Amino acid sequence: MWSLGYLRIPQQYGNLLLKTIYMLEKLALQKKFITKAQCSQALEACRGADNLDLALKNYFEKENILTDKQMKALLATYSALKIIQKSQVFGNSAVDLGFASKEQFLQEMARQKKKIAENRQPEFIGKIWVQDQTLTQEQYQEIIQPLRKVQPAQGPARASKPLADPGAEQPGAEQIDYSLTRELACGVMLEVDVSGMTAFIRKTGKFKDTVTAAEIMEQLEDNGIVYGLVEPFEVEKFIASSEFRTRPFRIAKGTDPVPGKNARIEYFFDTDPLKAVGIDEDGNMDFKDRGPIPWVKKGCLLAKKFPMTEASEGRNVFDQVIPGPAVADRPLKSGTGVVCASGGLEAYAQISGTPSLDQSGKIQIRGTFTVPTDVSFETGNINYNGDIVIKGTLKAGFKAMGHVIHVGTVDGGKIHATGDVTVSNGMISGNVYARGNVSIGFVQNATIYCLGNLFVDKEILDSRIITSGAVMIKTGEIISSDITCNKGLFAQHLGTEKSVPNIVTFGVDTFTDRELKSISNQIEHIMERQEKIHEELDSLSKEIFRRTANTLRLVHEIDHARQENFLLSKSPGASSARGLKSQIQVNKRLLVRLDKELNQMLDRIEEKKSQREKFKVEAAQLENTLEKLRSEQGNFTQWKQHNPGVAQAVVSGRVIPGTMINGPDVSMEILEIRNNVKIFQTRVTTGGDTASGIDIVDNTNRK
Amino acid sequence: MTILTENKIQTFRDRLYTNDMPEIIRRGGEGLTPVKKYPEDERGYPLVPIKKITRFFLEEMGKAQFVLPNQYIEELCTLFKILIFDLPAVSFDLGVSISQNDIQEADNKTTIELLTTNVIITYFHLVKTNIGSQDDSLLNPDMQSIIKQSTAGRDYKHLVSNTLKGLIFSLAQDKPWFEYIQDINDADLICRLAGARLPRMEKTTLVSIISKSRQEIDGHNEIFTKLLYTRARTVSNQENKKEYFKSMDRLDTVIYGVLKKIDRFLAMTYQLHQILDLPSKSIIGDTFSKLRQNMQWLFFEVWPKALEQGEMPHQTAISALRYRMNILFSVPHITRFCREFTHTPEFQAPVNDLFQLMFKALADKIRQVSMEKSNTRADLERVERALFEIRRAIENLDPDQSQFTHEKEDVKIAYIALILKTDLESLEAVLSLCDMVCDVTHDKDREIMIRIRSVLMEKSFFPLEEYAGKKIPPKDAIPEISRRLQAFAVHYRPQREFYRTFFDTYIIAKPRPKVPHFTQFLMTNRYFAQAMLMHFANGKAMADLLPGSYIEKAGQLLNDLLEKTKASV
Repeated sequence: MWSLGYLRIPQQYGNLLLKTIYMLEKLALQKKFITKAQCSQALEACRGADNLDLALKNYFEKENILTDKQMKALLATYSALKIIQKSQVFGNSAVDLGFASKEQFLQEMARQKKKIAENRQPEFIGKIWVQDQTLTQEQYQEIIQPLRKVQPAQGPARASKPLADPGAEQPGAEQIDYSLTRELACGVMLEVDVSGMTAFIRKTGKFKDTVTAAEIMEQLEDNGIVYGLVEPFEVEKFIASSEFRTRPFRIAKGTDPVPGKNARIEYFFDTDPLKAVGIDEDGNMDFKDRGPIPWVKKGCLLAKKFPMTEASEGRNVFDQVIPGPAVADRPLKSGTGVVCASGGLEAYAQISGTPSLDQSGKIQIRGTFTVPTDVSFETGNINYNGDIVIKGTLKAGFKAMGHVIHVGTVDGGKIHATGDVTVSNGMISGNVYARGNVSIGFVQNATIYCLGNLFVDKEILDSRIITSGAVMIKTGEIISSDITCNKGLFAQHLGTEKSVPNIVTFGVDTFTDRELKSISNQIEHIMERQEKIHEELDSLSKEIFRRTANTLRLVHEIDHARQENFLLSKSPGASSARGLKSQIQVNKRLLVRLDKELNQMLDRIEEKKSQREKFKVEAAQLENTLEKLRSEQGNFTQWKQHNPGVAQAVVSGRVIPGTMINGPDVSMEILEIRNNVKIFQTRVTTGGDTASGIDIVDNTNRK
Repeated sequence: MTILTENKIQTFRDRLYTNDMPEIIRRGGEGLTPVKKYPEDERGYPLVPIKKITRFFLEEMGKAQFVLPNQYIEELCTLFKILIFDLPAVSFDLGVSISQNDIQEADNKTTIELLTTNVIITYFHLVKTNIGSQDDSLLNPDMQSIIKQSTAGRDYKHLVSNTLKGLIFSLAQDKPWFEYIQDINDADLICRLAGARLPRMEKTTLVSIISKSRQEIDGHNEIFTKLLYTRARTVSNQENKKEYFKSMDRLDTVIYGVLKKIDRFLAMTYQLHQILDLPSKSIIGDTFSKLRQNMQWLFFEVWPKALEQGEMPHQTAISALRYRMNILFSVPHITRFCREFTHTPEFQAPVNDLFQLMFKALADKIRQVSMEKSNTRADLERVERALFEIRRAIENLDPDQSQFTHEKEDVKIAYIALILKTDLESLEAVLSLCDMVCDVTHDKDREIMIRIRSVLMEKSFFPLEEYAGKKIPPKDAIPEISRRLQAFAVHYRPQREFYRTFFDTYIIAKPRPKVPHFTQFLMTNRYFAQAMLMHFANGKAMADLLPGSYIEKAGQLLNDLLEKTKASV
């Protein structure tokens, strides 16, 4: 409950009715339709009613307190008073802005008041003036806009607003009009502003200086002004003063509420990783590049919450609580792989992986990045520093780069994996590079490079395979393909009668050789770049030194001009002698120019320094890359030593004539159909000479 | 300065635990032999040789010119922490710790290396015995305790006493004072690694070193003072411009040379101060206040009182200030000297003045770029450099963070105004400066993001208004609407907050005169309004960006619009 003088209104009735009830009650009391006690009783009796207006009306009728006619009269008077008040404010503004004369205003107001006296409803002065073209529409808007109640500021909506109800109005958005103008019995006019935060009094013609401060205070209290009142001695000063007949005296002032702050969460990872489109080097939109997928290390700070600060409430002159603007809290929600610390104010990664923020604001981390659909224009390329699962198809023109990669189907896309690759269905065209094993349903018109073994279920057709391990297609066939494997080949059929024959190279580690060559090239390239960077750094350091030396001249010139001006300004008669004054002005202009020039030179030095910093960062990165490449070089060299080639092919079905077999040292073309054979490179002795040769033997026993 | 950066240790860690190898090389496979770098223990864990760790650490320390004992032990601690955090399935081949006798016979450098080896072995022995346990204390090792354990069962009294004898002998030699520092430093480190402390130096020895050092700085400062006075006189008295420039060039070259010498002196003073825990002031002696005065004069325009009466005008132009800081920051130890004395309240004023000017210049520069018709990359680079410059000054002089509230606020206001003014194309580049703005304004809580979000929301409507001026069929307009909204959304973080707030603010909120609102498109370009609603009502595209109820609402509004259009036809 909050009090309004003697009238107590339950808060749940809402603020909206307050003014009406207050005015109605005032008018009813003035017209002596009701007593104060009756009013309080009515409100008490109607407490909790859905429609308070109707309940009150019914109550008054039932209790025979107010007749219908009295009620109507009250409401009509109330409405008329409101229009007059509004017209008064509007008219004053129009006069102030020079859109209407004072005479026009007074004349119109007199006409409206006459209407009231004749028991007719007055009209809003603004509407009349637009109709009779005293005001243009623009002038009307110019006056009315500032007079409109202040709306809540535009800006981000509060998170506390229910998400499921777009468009729902915020409660309490409507402003209550607290304005009041009333002549008190002690001869002062009481005026309360529209916000109810300030109350003024001024002396009327009836005011007598015999009135006491206590009387004024009592009458103010009778009218509900109870909060923020001035001290009695100030009221006494008001009484004693000869002023305040026109100028108002502020008798009470409310306390404004202090707004609080909404809770806020700052995220330290990319919350929206897949950009709409990227921009390529030429500035064109690149629908394939949607940026890297974020990856965080275990222990990394993911988000920080800044808690809300509550608003502190204010009070108006009627001692009503003015709540501060609502503040919204936001919980920091953590899901799988995320742990909250600092009393729920910070979220950290519990595992390394991809952080994500779901619709409910929960942060989660997954070690595997899953694409539920195809990799196409909708997703862009997938570049992820971890395991990837693509449930759909990797479409032509798109890439998936990651550690272990699982794909449904590859339809022309490219895979670059630092671990194993599994393609559940098959691969039609496209490219796979894997530093691990590759398992695949079938391969058609594709290229596969892999460090481990290649396992194929059905067939390899029109493809090129290079592997440091073995190629195993134990129940399928290889058709029109070029296969290079280090650890041998195991297939059911090698070629068909109608197809172009295969080329099989075994016992040769082309994959590792290519890797080593590529690493060597990269090392060479990096070392060249390092050399260039060192040259650049040297030259930049010299350039910075030279430019810094050049700035000296300007600095000296500035010092000189400044000193000269100082001396000139100190010379006797400097303020009056025209020559001196003009020299001082010349020097001042010179100083401005020199200051600008020196700033420009320093800008250029800073530019060079910033370039130098970038080169230093690049040099450090190159050093790091170089170290990694050297380590990689060592790893591949050791791998090659540990995995010598196995120059053999085991075919459980048929081998078609024309098939080209290449061993590490010798080649041979298959001339007739062979079934279930083992082909291998061996040492052949002919006439005392030993040479390498390809041998084909039946594999019946091995089967 | 840190010697072992996290990156460096991480690269080493990857190599050490063979994380840099492809899985298949490490594990092998069907017919494929793995490359096993290390032998395995009975559980099949690779035994990582500790000597690799020791070699790495000693090599890296050897690259540094001078490492203080505290820093040496801290670097070792950092190495331990990073190597055992999230330890993979490995064990350690500890090797054999070095015997007391072997250590005692070695020279200083070797002794340090051998003692370090023992500390490393001790730590990894603890790690090895704790593998599989839940004890996390080794993640944050107590180095004192580990050093103590590394000396268990050994008696280093003889070693410590020999080291001290060696030091006393070295100190008795007549050589430049700074040459004693390395000897004291080595002795200190040996004592610490042996679990002892370097005894307090004899007063006479200390007095001898310090008096030599004081003589040196006194000499430098005397020349420095003379040069500064001569410079001041030349500025005031030399009327012949040609002569003036000649003298000034010569003087400044000499001043820079002296500054370099003082910088080197202060570097060594700092080392001595760290080893002996003596305040720099007592190492420098009486010259301290004179040196401080000269530095204040040269870099902060605080003139000596005697000259002040001569009323030399003060230089407050930003160019001069930048020039002076350019010189100051090229002599890092003088910078540290200045930073230390400017932390004393009575000497803070000139630094505060300097930062006030720098912040003001930064805000002006940002405003200047705001006023350009469009922000070119070069304009923004200018702002970026200004931010770099002030950040460097903050790092070097470490001013009181609670100061310059008004100036920092002004920088933020200017930056927000720049965002508001920036066109769509440059928005990303401008927002990429945000981190640096936060750094220089000490906005650790990133409060500026509140204003940035508000300005992004306010601004996001303008490009749509501009595009709505073109008469384009709805289907063709959708991608462009999406692109324009996306440009703002990505910086809102998270974007779905942006879309929801945008929908609340411009579509659901009641339209008000002169306030941007979607309904204005219904009057000016109905096709565009339709395209906007189609964009928001697209459940597939907006699923992750807008709550379902909002997408539905957009669908309702779209249906209403289409019905109205049909009715009007």
